Amino acid sequence: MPTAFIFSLALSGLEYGLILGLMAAGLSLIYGVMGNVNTAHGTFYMLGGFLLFLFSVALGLPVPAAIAVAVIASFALGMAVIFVLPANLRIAASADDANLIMIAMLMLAIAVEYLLDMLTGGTTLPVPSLAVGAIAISHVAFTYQGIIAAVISAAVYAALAAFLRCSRIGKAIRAYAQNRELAEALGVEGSRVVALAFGIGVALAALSGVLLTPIYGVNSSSGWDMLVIAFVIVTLGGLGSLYGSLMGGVIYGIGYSLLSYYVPNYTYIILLAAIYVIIILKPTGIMGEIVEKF
Amino acid sequence: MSGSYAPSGEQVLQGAELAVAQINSQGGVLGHPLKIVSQDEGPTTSTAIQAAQILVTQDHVQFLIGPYWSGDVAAVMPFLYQHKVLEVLTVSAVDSFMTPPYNAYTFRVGEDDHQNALLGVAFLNMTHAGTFVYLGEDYLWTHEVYNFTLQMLPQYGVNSTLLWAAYYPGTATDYSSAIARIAATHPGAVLVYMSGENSVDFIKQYVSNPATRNIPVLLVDTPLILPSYAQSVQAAVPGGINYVFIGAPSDYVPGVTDKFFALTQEEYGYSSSIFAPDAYDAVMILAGAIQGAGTTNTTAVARAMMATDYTGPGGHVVFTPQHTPVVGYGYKTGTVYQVVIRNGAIYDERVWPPYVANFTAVNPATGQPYR
Repeated sequence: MPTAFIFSLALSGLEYGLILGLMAAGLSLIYGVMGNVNTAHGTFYMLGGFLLFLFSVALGLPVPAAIAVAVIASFALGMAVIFVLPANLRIAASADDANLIMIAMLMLAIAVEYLLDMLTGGTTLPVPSLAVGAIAISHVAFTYQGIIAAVISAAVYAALAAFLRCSRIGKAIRAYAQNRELAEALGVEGSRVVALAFGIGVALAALSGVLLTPIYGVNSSSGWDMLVIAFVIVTLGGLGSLYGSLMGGVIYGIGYSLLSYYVPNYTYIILLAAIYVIIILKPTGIMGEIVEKF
Repeated sequence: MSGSYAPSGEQVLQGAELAVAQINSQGGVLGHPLKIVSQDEGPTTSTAIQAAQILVTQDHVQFLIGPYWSGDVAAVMPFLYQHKVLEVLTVSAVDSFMTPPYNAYTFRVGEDDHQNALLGVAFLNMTHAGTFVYLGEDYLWTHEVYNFTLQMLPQYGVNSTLLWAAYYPGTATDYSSAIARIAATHPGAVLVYMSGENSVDFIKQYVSNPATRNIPVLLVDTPLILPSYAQSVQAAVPGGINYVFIGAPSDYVPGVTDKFFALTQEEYGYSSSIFAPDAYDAVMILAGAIQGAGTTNTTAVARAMMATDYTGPGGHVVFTPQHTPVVGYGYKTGTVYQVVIRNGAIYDERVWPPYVANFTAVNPATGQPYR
């Protein structure tokens, strides 16, 4: 098999992985701050696609503007979800709390799925692209939408890293994730940080949705597969690690691309088995110990 | 009905309702009106079993249309067999279920995997493809169709060589690697057996690749036959849908199918469905068998079903000893459509079987039939 072809396949996987990693980064951020796994994360991915469809097709906004509005609306929705939760559940103080939040989010995900199912009749919506067309490199197609999505993902990673490293709010989020009590003693307000982190996490999931659903389409059940993929990526990269999500996404994307070429029906089995072995060898994930939270 | 497939499930129910309304307007069966009792199959095999249990033990249903999904069919078959409930399948296509003892009370009116394979063989013949690639979602039915396809090619005198075959998980959404492999091996045609959204995901990516979009591709059991799906592909890649063919598991019967769709248009607002005609036929065949048996005893009705020779909007149904429909010219074949864009509008032109075709399959590059 020519090297150029394999390289192109890997490049295609990198493109896919960068976008998936963005969603996983949101999941990781929420876990780092709240201490629980957001089981509705795939739903927010799916909502991103629905909102883009709503704002662009139904309300007639230009696609770039519709994307911006969809992501901002998702951020606001994420914040609102946190304020609806009982105060004692916003931050998991115990395993029981974490389980309760997981169940509450799961219920939310199922309710939203059924609601959208009723509204759309279960159909897949044609979400508009930012750009139409593709180029082929060594037989592998790269759609303009996919290329733009990967570039946007990389830029958002960089912006998020800079925000968490350099801004006052970002530092507060990191401080809170690393040591809640100490951060609160220094004046960081827990409930605000949690709401903000959840809003950002949801916005990242929605951004993945608005970038990927023009390629794959979206229906009310689209979020579940993506939720599993996001779980795999954050577990691989290390829960609570932004760079880990990036690494995990890229490894997953390239692995998926190559495996689905050579052994398509065993792709998920091999990929998940390999990730299981990595987790056994390094339970904290690839980046779990060498990078501080975020 | 719930879930992503609720709209097609509704069409099954609506097809059955049209048949029941017609039968009851003519006096019912054995002098009694028919009544439909329905249950949502739900998202899992356990919900399907639960639905079957409610219908049989609480509602005392003796005759069942469905379930929809093959996995659910397999799950409820032992229960229905135990209660001697006569089941007619209109959507599930897996042939390996139709074996003794459970097929004693199970009949299939709708698509069959032999029929699905025949669609592919007809397409390869029509496009004169010297080589082809076979892709399927990794479910039992696509493996069955693969085996039947290889058996049927020499039977129908079609000289097309398989380059490679691959199966993809039902949850897959990204097919870049599969499409890259097609581009690298450049077959004469591609057969795709993916139901539901998978086929739409696949075709969007397929037509995006400049190296594959001009290779004729047949999608079997795809929602692309619905205008909104075809338009979404056309919107993603203008002109990309030019080389797409659709293999619909339902048949077209001149005069009969058109009349049926005039009725669905009037009652439900749609003039095309691969689900409603077979459900309509299932009820009509069942009613005919009950009338023929002179009793609702399901063992007697099952015997009477074997005398069926019925032509309805979904095709001509005669049962094999396995209780599946006879597949072949003059019986159940399915229909192949070529997607054609004219003045910006999308049309599904019927290109096979020859005795109902209203269009000759053309190569868009030359405007001439494939050679």
